[in-house]
Amino acid sequence: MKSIEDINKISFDDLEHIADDSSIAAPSALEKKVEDALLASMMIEQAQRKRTLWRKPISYALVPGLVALGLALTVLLQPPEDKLIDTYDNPQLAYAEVEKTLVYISSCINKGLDIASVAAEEFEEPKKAMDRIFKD
Amino acid sequence: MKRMILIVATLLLGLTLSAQSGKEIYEKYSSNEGATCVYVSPAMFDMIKTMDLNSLVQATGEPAMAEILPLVKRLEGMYVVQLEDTNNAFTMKAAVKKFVDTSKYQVLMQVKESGQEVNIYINKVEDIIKSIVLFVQEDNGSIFIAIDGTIQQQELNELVNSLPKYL
Repeated sequence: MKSIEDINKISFDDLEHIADDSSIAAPSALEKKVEDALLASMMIEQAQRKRTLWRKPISYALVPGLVALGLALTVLLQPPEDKLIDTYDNPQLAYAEVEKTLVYISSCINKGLDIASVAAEEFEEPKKAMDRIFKD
Repeated sequence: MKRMILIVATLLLGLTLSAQSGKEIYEKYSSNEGATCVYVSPAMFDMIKTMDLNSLVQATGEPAMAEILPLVKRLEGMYVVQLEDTNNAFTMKAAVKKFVDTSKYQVLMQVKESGQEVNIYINKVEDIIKSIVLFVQEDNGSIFIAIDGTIQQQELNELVNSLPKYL
């Protein structure tokens, strides 16, 4: 049996003569083997086509998609405009209100500190009692 | 590709879950019926900074507290909402709790007395207080106060010590 290299060296006319010569016997099931090989080749080609089918649209959509995302983030991250209106248009009145608010906050903090200092005094009582006992 | 999509999705999710600010709480509850609100904008504080103590005395009719003016000049915004409706007061309390839990606030003080619960939170970076939030819940309503600025810790201590203790 000739090797593939030898067959490649044969001219097309010689190949036709060999094909027409009925005395030369073809290997058994050659036709089925050729059909199977062709079918397998077609299936591989189809599978590769499916894999690459979505890649091009994705890559074409990626650039404008990233640009749109960048624009959206720019809009989202922008500080919103100040839609609130000052309660007072006179800075002196506004200052008076700020002063009142700070005094109120201070009073709340001081109330808490007073409660904490009373509690601290209460905690001191058992300690004083124990000091008296151990000194005696 | 999958990793890039996951990273982008995580970033977008982080944006949507961003915490409310004191301003947003003010915007949400200031339009409620029966709400008493005060808003002093950064622009107004800029105007106050240009004024001296004497001009502040003339408008109010009462002497301005000299201890307060240096600190007021460091403020950038003030939001006050007082609600009388107890239902809205509860929802505002939940909103404030969520706000301070998700932002970088620490508890300065919590006081619970009969009929009143006071919570004070600060947002502090080293010795600089960037924001103070106070929430008071009483039987007949609640008060929300948020003050933004650049306040030294020592200035706040001096203010608390020097101002009248009770209204």
